[in-house]
Formats: sequence, C-alpha cells, structure tokens
Amino acid sequence: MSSSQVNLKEPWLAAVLAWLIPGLGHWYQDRRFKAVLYFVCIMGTFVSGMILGDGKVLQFSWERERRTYGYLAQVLVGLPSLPALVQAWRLPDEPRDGGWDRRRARLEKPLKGTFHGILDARLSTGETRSVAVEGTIQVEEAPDGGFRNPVTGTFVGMTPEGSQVDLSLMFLNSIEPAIFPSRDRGLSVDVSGQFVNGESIESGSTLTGVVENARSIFNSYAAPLDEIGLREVNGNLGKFYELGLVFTWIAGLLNLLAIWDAFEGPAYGYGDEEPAADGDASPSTEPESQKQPATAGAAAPTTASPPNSGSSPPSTPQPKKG
Amino acid sequence: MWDLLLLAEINKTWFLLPLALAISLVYQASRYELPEKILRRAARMFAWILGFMFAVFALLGLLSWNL
Repeated sequence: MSSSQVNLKEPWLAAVLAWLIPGLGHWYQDRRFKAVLYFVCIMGTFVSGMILGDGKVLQFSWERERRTYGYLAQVLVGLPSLPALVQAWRLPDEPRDGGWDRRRARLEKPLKGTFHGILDARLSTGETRSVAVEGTIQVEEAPDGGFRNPVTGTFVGMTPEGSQVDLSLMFLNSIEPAIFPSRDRGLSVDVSGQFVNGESIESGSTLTGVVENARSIFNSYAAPLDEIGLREVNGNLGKFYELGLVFTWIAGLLNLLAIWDAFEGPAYGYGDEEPAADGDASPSTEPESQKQPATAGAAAPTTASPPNSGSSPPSTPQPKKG
Repeated sequence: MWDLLLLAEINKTWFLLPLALAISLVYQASRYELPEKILRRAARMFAWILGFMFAVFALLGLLSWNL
C-alpha cells in the first residue's frame, strides 16, 4: 500500500537500489531510519550466516545433480551474493565428474607458502612413521611425465618435536580446485628426502596438508564446493553449516520485504492512524458510557479521519446515521 | 578463520535471539513508517516469538518428562 506521506521518488529505481544493497533504496528516498535498520538487520544476518558457515554457504550451481535452490533466496541480498554467479561461470568445464576430480587436477601456477599437514614417511629401515609437519613449501608443475602428475619443488619444515625435515616433491596425488571457498589450498604430494638426523625418507612417502593463503579472495569468495569439500564442511562444521545457510536465506527473504517497501511504501500505512484502525489499541481508559457500540465501534473510527487519509488501511463503511 | 571451537561451545538455541530480533524489526519496518511505531511493534513481535518458542519448549519438555 502506498502512503501519501512517504515520498517514494522513483519507486523502480528505489527497488533496484534496495535489492543491490539493503537499505540503499530507502536512503535514496530519504527514509534514513529505515535505511539504517534494513542495512544493519539484513546485512548483519547475512554476514552472521557467512561466518557461521565459514564462508562456504554462498554458492550457485544449476547442474542437474546439485542445484542450489537456496541461492534463489540468497540472491535477494543483492551485490554480496552476485559473485556466486561469476564463480559458477568461471568454473572450468573439465575435469568434472560430480564435482571436480582432484586426482586429475593440475597445478595451474607455481605455489609457494607456509604449509602444515601430515607426513606419512616410509623410512629406509622399512618402518613407517606419520608425523605432523609445518614449514615452507614450493611446488610447480614439471614437464609431462606420463600418466602421473609430476611436480618439482621442496618442503623444508619441522616436526612438533623439533626435528627438521627436508623433502623433494615428486608427484602430485591430488589438489583442491583453483576456485574453491577457502583461502588455504589443500594438496597431497609424493615426496622423498630425509630427516635432519640422517634418517632417509623413501619415495612413496606422502605429504598431505594445506598451503596457507594460497588463494586470492577473487578465487575463494562465493566459490562452489565440490563433493569432497561438501563432505568435509559438513564434517567440520556440523550444524553450524546449516545454520549459516538458514541465516543467509532468511537475510535474502527479509530483503524482499525491504524491496517491496521501497517500491510500494509501508504495507499498513504511515503508523499515525487511529489505534482502532490498525488494531494497535491500548487499553481504553474512557468510561463505558462513551464507548461505541461493539458492532460499530470496532470498525468505525471514533474521530475524524487523519489528515493522511490515503495512508489509512481500508475500513468498514460507517453506518448511516438516522 | 573463525574460531569454531568457541562457536561450538554456544548452544545453538541462542542464535534464535538475534535472528528473531532482525525478523521482527524488518517485518514491522515494512508495515509502518514511524520509527517509534516500528520499534514498539517489533518489541511486541519479538516477545511473542520468544514466548511461543518457550511454550513449545515447555510442552516438549513436559511430553518427554521421564523418558
């Protein structure tokens, strides 16, 4: 319902602005209180959802097997949700098999940074040892070596006990996609090398973990999860992932109300109508004798119509006198 | 990264409070224009939501008594 006391300016423009950024349409209409209220409530709900879901709840996919219907609600938040469309468009066509095949994925550019993970080492004595390691990794793709995925590079790090580990990287077993909703990038690589105490680490040993901050925000914000990533997120976050989804959906649906308010004005009127007309009557203190009869008093106003009669909700026609 | 361990310590029911508050405010803001009217109606709606949730919680607690 459009209120004559509210200057909606250009309603279509206001609605588009309200969709792009919650509250922006109302700011354009000089409805500053509502602009701030909508922005804080809707963006607060949306950002809370993103935090609860560790930034992995906003994604778009319209493939038959994994349609993200929830995005239809998220997209109502406007600009913050639109990068998901871009990320879906940027995805490579291959390799995809119900997601991305991490074992066939290739290193598209050299990777360098802080790494932490697990080293499953096969020692020359025949013993196997699994130790946590942290250090610096440098890896790049080597010339094609057949069916495997050869890489060159090094890892220099430490175990929690303080033993230094020097490794040469040989084959890439698997790697997360380049476009993925995490700044860290997981990989698994075959290695050989040695502990600093002289123990030799044979080929066939595996280094598995993540390279910290290996992705830019451009490659991680609103990027879709593959099947493995979805399982990991559900395992790591549990109910918080679902809470995050629900928060972002609700934020979008709330913005639908705000968009309509920018386009059409407040639904029930300005808010200064007679209490009896909008059902907001406070307990009456007037004597019983001055009250209207129950049949007419509930619907008909007891005083003259307010100046903004155009903003009042429709009421039952008053009974004719006499 | 957000400290998920800290989050895990929080009972998920508490997340209802800010969500119900945001829903109440936005819904009432889309109904009326006057700030005081919006805030008053939103406070009432917020209390109503919490009361309803508490009633459901109490009913479920009663039904599952000694189970």
